[in-house]
Amino acid sequence: MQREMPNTILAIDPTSRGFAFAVLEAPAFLVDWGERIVPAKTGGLLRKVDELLARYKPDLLVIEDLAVPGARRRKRAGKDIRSIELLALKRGLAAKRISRLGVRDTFAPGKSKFEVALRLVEIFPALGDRLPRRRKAWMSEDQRTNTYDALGFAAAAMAGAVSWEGHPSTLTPMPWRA
Amino acid sequence: MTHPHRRPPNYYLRTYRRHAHLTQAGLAYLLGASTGVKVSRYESGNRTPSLETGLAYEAALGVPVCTLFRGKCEEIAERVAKRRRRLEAKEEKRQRVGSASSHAA
Repeated sequence: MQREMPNTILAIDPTSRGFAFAVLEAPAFLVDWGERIVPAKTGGLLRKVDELLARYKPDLLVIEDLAVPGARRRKRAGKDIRSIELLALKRGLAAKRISRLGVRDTFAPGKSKFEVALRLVEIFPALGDRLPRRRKAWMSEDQRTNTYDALGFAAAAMAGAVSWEGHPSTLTPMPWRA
Repeated sequence: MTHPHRRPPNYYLRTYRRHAHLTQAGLAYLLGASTGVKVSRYESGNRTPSLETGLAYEAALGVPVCTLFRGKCEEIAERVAKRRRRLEAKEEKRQRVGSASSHAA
């Protein structure tokens, strides 16, 4: 079945400091990405998300699916995701939930989050300079990883219409692979 | 592919600057400005770049002006097309009047 391709996708991933986001335009153009720092319990999260919705006017909002087995997020993240989804519906925007497993299966089946991020950097070389080093077992996760998580959601949502296999930008050499 | 709604003129400036791995200050230097404030204003839409700055943008980022300012380009192209249609209609009317007067003579 041919799925209808949304023109602009905004993916949001709440973090401990605020939220990470990625804006993707069809077929595979990365418009914006980054992290917004929002102090907890100030209500700034929805205001900042609303700013992004007003600026990019997406056709689809993508968030994490917490209903699937194995989804582990803090209580606040789950609450934030629900409120963001509600805001999208209020703005007449379609919202789609994608699980982390779904993102992993799309880009690097059975591999780690770092491998998924590497694959995303191959597809979107603009993000190459932000990729943190591979995390050791005793290290906590780098905050920059959140942007790759958000981009993973956006790209996985677009994956129904776009094949990431053999994407031309995969030929771009990565500086740390030399 | 056309968008269902037109993007603002400054919409892609930030995108292409970030794709080129440039900071606002770095791009400002390439454009010949002293600080990144001007670039920030261009990106937020508080200031419209001049033709010279637009061409400098193209040279600095390696992206055609019409891609950088897609919204503005589409808007201008639409206006020109409208005027062209009007000009053609006027031209046609003049020819019709001219041929009618020659027949009468």
